[in-house]
Amino acid sequence: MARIIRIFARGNTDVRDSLLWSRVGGVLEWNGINEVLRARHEGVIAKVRHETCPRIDLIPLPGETLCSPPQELSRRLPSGVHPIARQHRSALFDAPADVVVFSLQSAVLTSLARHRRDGWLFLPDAVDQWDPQSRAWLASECDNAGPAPMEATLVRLEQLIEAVRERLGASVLVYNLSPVVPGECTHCWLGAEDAIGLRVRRFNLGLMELSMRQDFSIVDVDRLMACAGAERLKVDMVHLKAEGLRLVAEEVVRILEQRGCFDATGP
Amino acid sequence: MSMYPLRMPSLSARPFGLLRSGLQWLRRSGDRVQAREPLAYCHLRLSGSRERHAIVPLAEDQHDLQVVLASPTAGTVECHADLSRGGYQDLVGSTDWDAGSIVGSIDSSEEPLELVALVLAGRRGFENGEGRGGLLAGWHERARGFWQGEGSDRFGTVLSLGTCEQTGIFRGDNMAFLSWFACAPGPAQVISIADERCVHSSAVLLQHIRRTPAEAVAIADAVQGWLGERLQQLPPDAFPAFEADASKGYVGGRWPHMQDLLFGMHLLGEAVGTCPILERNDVLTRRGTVQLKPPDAIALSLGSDLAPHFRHRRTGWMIAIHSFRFGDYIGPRLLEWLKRDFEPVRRTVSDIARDLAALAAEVEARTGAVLLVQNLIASSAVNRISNYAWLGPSFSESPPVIAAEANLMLYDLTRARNVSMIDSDALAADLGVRHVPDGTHASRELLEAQRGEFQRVLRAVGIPGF
Repeated sequence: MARIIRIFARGNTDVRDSLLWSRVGGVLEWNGINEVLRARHEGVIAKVRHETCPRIDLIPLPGETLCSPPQELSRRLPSGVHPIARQHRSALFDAPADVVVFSLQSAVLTSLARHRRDGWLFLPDAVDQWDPQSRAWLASECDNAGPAPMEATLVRLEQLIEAVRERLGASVLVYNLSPVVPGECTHCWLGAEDAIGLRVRRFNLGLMELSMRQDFSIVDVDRLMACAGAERLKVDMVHLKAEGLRLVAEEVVRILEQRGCFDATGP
Repeated sequence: MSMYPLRMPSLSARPFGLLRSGLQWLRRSGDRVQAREPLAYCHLRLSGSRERHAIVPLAEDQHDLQVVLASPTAGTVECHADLSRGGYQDLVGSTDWDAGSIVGSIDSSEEPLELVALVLAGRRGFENGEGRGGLLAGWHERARGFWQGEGSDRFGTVLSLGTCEQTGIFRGDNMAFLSWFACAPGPAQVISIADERCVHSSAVLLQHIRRTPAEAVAIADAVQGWLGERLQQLPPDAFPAFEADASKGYVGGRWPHMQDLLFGMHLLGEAVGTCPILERNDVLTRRGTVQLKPPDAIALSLGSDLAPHFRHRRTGWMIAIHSFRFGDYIGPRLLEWLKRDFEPVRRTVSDIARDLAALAAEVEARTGAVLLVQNLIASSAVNRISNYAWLGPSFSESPPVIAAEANLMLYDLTRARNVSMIDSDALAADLGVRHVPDGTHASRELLEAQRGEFQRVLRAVGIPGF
């Protein structure tokens, strides 16, 4: 009988593509972490429960209710892969898990909108595909709240890691990001805003510092890409080719091995 | 296609004369070559009366001057092999420079201009130390390559003061700047000063560029005192070559006490010599020697700032020496001197940021040059760390953390007007860090990428000739 490793993954393309699957133009490029487990741990299967992540600060702590858009609005506004009604909720603490996976990707890349009057944040996903009425509502009612501040994000992440350990006793893995952006070649930042690559480096360092205080593991996507060559493995800032996804999945398995998740007694 | 003659280019040391040796061919008749590909080289010597001219051009490089002759165009060459005389006649300049002489021919679709000259100039660490042979053979404490190309504008100069990673980038596999010559149109000059003596960190350079005559005297006194002490306190077995049992033979012939004494002298020589950032250099052109202004761009390695630093207790003189040089390279007595008369300096990333910013401001005020700082290759195939808690208090001193913090600091520093970053970290990550397994010594492919990035940035900041 197969042994099940329960993985709860809250993240976007990096987490989903490496742990579940990656399809490009209808073709399956990578078939997830179980490809690695089949080869290295016969009889072990990962059951991955995945939620998209508009941003880390929208993941509620146990018992916490985040300030969110009214239900009527959530139903009315268009949604992409981040349904507005579910952006402020999570099943993270609803069921047991052996492993919980987070990623820095949303914190680094995503800018949220803030409702001017009520102050709630949300991600207007794929806004370029919204109908004119919805876009007009967005412009008249909301401001751009910008990207996540690093300090606050890492505090939130620390709270989540503590809560996972207390409530679930699960191992926590956090993906960092590879800062290599194909085509990026800035050599002087005089008068310039931080580029994405620079923001990634700041967050990666912040995550290293957080790991000093908290018992979690960094899935060092930065190092993996750098070792094997980002030029060969990356499609763009966030999308990896199949070989890159395989390396990330193998790293996840290696970390789980080190954390004893495949030992006879379990994690 | 027609065969056209390949002619010696115009080159002059006016008001001095210019002598050349026989040619040493680098290609054979029938070889297919690319434009700017070296075909031959010879040694140069200045001729003329030193009495009549107070200033001798290229005085510090005059014993190791060479010129590389490169094809002006792609084609198949025929070489006049008889222009090579062999022996010492191919090592010492003895006949007048003969611009226009035909040294071979090339098949080409159009008549090419004269051969293109790359002049190589080495300033010896020890003037009497002959090291003749190939291109820029021997130890030079400064090596230069300059070429006018087809241009007639002013020379652009880049000075490399980085660690060994920059030796590969600037001097290349051949140690003769051929990779730069191949792709920079000119007029351009590339200068390389390696870190065999003192590592050129921001702290060391900042002190050097600000050094006063009184401070130079104090440093000279300090070194002189130690050298005198060393020679006075030689142990009884200081001359093993003359021990009784050595009378019929002895393993090794070098006086064992020489190395640390020499190293002390070299440290002094560099500290009280002109700061290379401020040095003006002579170049040979078609019309005679020209003195250039100080370098337009200074290439530094962020890694230099992580080398061990020591401050002389009495004078405040700061030096930096790579730890691998202790022991086999410079001997235990020098280490004893460092322990006794110097204090180790622990430099944080904030200290480095402060010194780099001050250096950038000082350089901008003095010469207007830009700093091109190569960041650290932070990614490592070795450091597979998924949680840093086990590092405890040493977290902030661990290599991955220092590298990440220092690189971020450098990003912020590039917001100054005259600082640009060469993102070696991104280049290594692009190609894969297997190209730089120890984080410093890169493969040819990565070196070429780094060299290309330097050239791109030099063009972007408007340095002529590149």
